[in-house]
Amino acid sequence: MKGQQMANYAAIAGVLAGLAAVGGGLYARSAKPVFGIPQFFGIYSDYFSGVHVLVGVGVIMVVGGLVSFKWPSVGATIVCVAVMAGLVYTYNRGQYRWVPLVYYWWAPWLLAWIAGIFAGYAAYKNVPQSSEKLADARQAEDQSA
Amino acid sequence: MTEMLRSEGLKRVRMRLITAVVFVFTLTCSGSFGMEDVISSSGPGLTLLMILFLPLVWSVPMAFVASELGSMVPEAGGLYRWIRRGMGEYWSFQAGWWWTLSLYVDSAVYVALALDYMEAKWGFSGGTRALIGVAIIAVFTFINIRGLDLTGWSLTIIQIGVMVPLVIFTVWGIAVGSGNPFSPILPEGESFLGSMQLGLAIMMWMYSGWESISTLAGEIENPQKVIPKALMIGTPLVIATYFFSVWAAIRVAGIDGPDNWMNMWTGGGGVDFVEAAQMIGGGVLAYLMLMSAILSNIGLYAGYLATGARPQFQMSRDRLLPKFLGLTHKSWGTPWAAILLMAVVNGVLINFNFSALITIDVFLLMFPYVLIFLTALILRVREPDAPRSFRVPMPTWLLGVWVAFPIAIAVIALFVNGTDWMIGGLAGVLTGPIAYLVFKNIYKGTTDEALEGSVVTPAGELTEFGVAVEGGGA
Repeated sequence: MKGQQMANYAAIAGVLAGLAAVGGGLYARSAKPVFGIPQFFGIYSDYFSGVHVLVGVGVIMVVGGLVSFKWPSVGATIVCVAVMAGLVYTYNRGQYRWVPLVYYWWAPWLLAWIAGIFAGYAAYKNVPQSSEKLADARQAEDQSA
Repeated sequence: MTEMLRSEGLKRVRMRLITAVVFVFTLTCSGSFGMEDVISSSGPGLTLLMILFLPLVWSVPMAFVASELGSMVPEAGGLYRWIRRGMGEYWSFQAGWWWTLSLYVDSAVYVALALDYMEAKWGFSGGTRALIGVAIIAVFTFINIRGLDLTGWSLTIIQIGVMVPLVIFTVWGIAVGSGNPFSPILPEGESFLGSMQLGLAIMMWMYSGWESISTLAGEIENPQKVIPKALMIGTPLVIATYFFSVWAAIRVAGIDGPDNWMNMWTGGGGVDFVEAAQMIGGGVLAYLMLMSAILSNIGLYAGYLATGARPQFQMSRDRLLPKFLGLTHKSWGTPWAAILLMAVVNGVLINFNFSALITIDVFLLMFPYVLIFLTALILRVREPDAPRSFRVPMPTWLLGVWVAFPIAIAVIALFVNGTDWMIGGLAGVLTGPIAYLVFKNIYKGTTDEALEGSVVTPAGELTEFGVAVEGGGA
């Protein structure tokens, strides 16, 4: 499979991960669950609640997914970092209960991981490995120095 | 030999089988400290049954698979290179990254535990604690950089210090203790599955580490023969150590009443091995047991500092991590930069509350375990005739059935440790793809043909380096 094909899969997975997060956030908003304390460094606002974090992080992930079509390494990194930040943020805001947390996060996490895997394969295809033995490379470096 | 030194920079030592067994024992057991919590969680009978039967579906498959893969791909970095051979660069990087990340935290835990034991006994200040911790790390960093010879000797002395008090306690405890150690099987009112779940996570932890010694393969002569033998000897030794010492501990606890096993836990206030030793042997045996517990954790630290540094070294040599991690000591032939970096991180961690970081451990260890088992099956199918001086004595389909059990247990473990472990683990796993994308784009990686330290080609022929190693040039 070619690198671009892998990049496309990474992009699709990244966009789906973002949409899953946005969808989860919108569903959580309509269902009005208690989903994390809406606080960030002492500032209390609904925008810092788990619901809004899901939507905000989801939008970033969609952007990361779209970027992956052209630059899979950059795009997938955005997607994966966004999920990590969102997960830890929601948890640290008091959403300690296992079921609701995983209920909203499992799909974005899994899709982000898949995006990372495809982007990794794209990088493997697109970035040529060095075929020079390290010892030879170092010897050449020493000689040129 | 010249080619070997030129191409890898690692010095191979002639490790005696007994030293290799000590390495295996240290990395997988190092005493039975921590088992106390399983007894009170799962009940004495179930604890002893788990000690006997869990290895059949958890640690023995790993020991066998690690032996087969280690005999087939006897290269520095161990599991990282196995997975590269079976599943390619991406997944080998993931396994190497997760495993290394987990050991950075894990090894610091052992120093912290040793300090906890000391602090409970001697009650020193925070500053003194930090100084002692840094001193322990500095000493074993030097020993590790000095080479596997000295590390092996240190671990042997440490394990004598761990085992002598434990054996005295075990014999004495079984003789003078009271009650049937298998009774009751379960805590009252608990279901079988509920009881097992409580102790399973700790028990899995106690029975982990069989893949670790493989990472040292690049610095041992004939690793494809020594390491499998050591694993085969170490496996029953570890099971026997756990079984008899826990049997003794349960009987000793029974002296103060048949239900006293419920009071067995570590971390103060409970009947741990030190307290149990006090009950039968007074202050002297309690003191010896305390020293045993401290040495046990120090030994684990020394062992994991050695093994934890090697995959990152090899990943750097394969152009997948920063160059400096691939530096070797010119005289001692050890990956000093990788060892030193790990020690510095440990030194920083022990001075902070890093309990949040420990939560990434389960996920980051279980995923590489799954990849190791899959690699064993892939290589059996793809390279059935590749030379293996050790082969798990069963056909591939049966090996597949057997390793399905530890894979299932590893997956279950991801879900039974609570929300914080789940979140820490999920976040930790994602660091793998991110790190690969970053480092791959910076350092590019190396083709299979240009890899250093390969002893055998995928076609089963010795490489130029392999000829130097196999020919006994070292």
